[in-house]
Amino acid sequence: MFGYYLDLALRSFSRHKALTGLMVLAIALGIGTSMTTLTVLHVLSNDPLPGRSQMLFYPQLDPQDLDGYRPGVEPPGQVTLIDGMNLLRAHRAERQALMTGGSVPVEPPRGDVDPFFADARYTTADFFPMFEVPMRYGRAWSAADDQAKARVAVISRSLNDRLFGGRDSTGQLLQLGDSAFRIVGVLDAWRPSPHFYDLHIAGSYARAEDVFLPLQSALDAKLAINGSISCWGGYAVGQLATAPCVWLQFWVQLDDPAQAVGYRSFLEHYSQEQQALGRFQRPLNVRLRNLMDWLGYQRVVPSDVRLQTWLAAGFLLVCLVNTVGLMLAKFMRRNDELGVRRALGASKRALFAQLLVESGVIGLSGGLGGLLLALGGLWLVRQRPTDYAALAQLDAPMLLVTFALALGASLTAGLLPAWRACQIAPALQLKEA
Amino acid sequence: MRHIVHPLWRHRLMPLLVVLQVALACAIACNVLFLLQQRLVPLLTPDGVAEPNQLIVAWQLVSRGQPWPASRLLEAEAALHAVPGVSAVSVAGSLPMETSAQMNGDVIGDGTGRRANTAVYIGDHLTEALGLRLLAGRDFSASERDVHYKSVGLDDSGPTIITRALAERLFPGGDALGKVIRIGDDANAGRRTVIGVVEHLMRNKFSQDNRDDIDYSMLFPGIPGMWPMPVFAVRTDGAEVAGVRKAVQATLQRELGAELVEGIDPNYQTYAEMREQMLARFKASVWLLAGVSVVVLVVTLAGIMGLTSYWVQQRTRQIGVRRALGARRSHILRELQLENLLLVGLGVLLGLCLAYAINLWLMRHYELTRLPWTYLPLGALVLLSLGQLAVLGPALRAAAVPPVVATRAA
Repeated sequence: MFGYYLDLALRSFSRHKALTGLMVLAIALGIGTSMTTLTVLHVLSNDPLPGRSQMLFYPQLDPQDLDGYRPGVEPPGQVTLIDGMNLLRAHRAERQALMTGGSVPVEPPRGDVDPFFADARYTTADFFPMFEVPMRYGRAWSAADDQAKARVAVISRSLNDRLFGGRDSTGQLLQLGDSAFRIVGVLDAWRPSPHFYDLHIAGSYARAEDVFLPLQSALDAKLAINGSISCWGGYAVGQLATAPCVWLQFWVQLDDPAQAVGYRSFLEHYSQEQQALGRFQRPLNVRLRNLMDWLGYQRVVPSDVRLQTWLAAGFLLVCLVNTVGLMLAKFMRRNDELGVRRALGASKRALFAQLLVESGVIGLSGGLGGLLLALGGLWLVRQRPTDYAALAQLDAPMLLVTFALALGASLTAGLLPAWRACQIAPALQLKEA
Repeated sequence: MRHIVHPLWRHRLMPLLVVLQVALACAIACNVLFLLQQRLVPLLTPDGVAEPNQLIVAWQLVSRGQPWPASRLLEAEAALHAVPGVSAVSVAGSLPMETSAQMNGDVIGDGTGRRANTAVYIGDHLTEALGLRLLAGRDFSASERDVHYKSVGLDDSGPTIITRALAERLFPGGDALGKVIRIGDDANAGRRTVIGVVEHLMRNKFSQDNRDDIDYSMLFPGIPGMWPMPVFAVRTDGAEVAGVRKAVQATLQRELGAELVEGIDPNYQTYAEMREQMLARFKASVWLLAGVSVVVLVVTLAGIMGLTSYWVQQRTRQIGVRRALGARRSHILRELQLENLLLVGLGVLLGLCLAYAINLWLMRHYELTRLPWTYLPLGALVLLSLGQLAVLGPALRAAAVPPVVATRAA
């Protein structure tokens, strides 16, 4: 029966080309814009570490003085070096990493490449296992390397390609300005999106860094820091190690909720201890958000993108109502044809099914058109000067969503017109025709 | 009227769909056009800077350790002045289209008590370097320019030059010259006496809606102290801009290069390039929103047309009868147009309420401002004309139905 309905639908399309074309176009436009914005939203609100994100937590402390204090205000989004090192040493979590961004002058080993600056991350050993960073060659450095301020480095795959032509470069020396670091590991392709572990650098969707160094070694080598630095109690950039400034990110891995509760009370304890020492002056104010909550709190998805998604949804609704109207016009015009079918014994149900098949075919063609439009739309998004531009790609789930949305939309649009068109008295139609 | 409303009521599904379509389109179009206009503001407002291609801006100069003292900045300024082809140079805290460092805040007109969120630009020769057009009053004197602030300079008192828009905002209807502007609410806040008014000077911090405050700026003479990111505005005489830019880069590298934070490279761009980069995202938004509004309207047009032509076709026989009974072509045409006006009008009415509701919701979630009421009649007019356009084809076809149709069986 389905095949027959399909045949009928195609015949009806060739009879009402303009009307059918209009409907397909309306659905295609609605689906195209919705899928463009939905895909961008989907990519941007991505979980960067599915399966692990609920175990990763971002502790916040409030080490500031009372100047400008207002009750209820959030603690700073980063930690001081002193607190970071204290928390790291306390080692109360399964894994933990203290980090900051940086910028390093790379002196290429081969003479034919000019020296250049590369983005770097100064961090501690647990960074790699905690964030499941894929390794291509070698391994990450160890906690002992952190302790010993060892001059070791892990580099990204793309930097390895650029400097060493993609060969295994472990054991080679990487010259960064005046300091030499021995390469112990090379990452495989890795682009966490968003750049969740530090949202302050070059936008929330920046690429991962090219050079990873032990935090203490990098500070020891006086390499440049890059990121947000916020200070209180007097301005003095230059001695960040002891200054009242927050500029580091601290992440912990806590495997179950009980551990999270425990860690929270540890943070409270630590704050009280610091208050007793006179370092912290504000009332107790700690936070322990997991990764996704942290991203939500930081509002990483630009509000423009969310606004556009609503806009596109509204637009899809306009196209849908439009399609309902056009389908109604089309189905009602075929009264005589449907009357004949009724008179020849087709049930109302059969007519209804036939008309819905027709709507479905329109929906699928619209979906196909919408897919092309969405691909074009995403191409346009990629041309825009934003940090997330390169991420705007359609993936398999969104492809399925496109067709599901198109089919769902057209069937919904077809329901009312099809039902109306079925309410035909067969005899009357025959008489008039 | 009854002969129009009655058939509509009898076949209510069709007309209802037209009303619904118009209402949705109207609601969305009003809001989209409003967003579009907000994004257009920075693109269309003059920024006050003359000959943007001949202004070279050196920015993102970040000092290692303590910020440079005024004397070092003045040495660099003098060195830049010596570059051939340079006609004016100014040190500044920030500039229009440069957002890495900004000075913004609420200022209050002394006496009127009116306040405005304003951008503040502090520099020693900004009027010449930017090429601002002075409308009233005078430029800063040599001694006024020679101030070296201990802190940034926002809290100090002294003279100021403001834009015409800000003058009208703070001192409506009156002459702003000689009046005092308080920089903030503090009792010991700086007090600035207006000595000049310039035509335009754009602020460098944009918000969601800058329709009112885009041109609210103040100039303070002097050199900001303890300012970690000074900028240099270098005005050239127009010939050989590329060559002068290289010379500017070489000069500043020589003067300050050794004290720059490593890893952060300064930028040397013409003002026109900075403007282009800064406004790129507004341009992209404008294209997107304009595209959406056009497509919404076209889809609606097609929808109304499709429905109306079916509606007319259905009534071909009735129209024939009416023609046979003496109705003229123009009667039929008028009638269908009136019918469309009625339906679209109803849709517009609903749509305007919906537009307002959507706007209220957006205001709650996206820091949007209230939809100005002027958009409502505008949106109504657009959709009413759209409806008339859509009905014209089918109505003309209907009017062309010959009376003889009435005598035939369907």
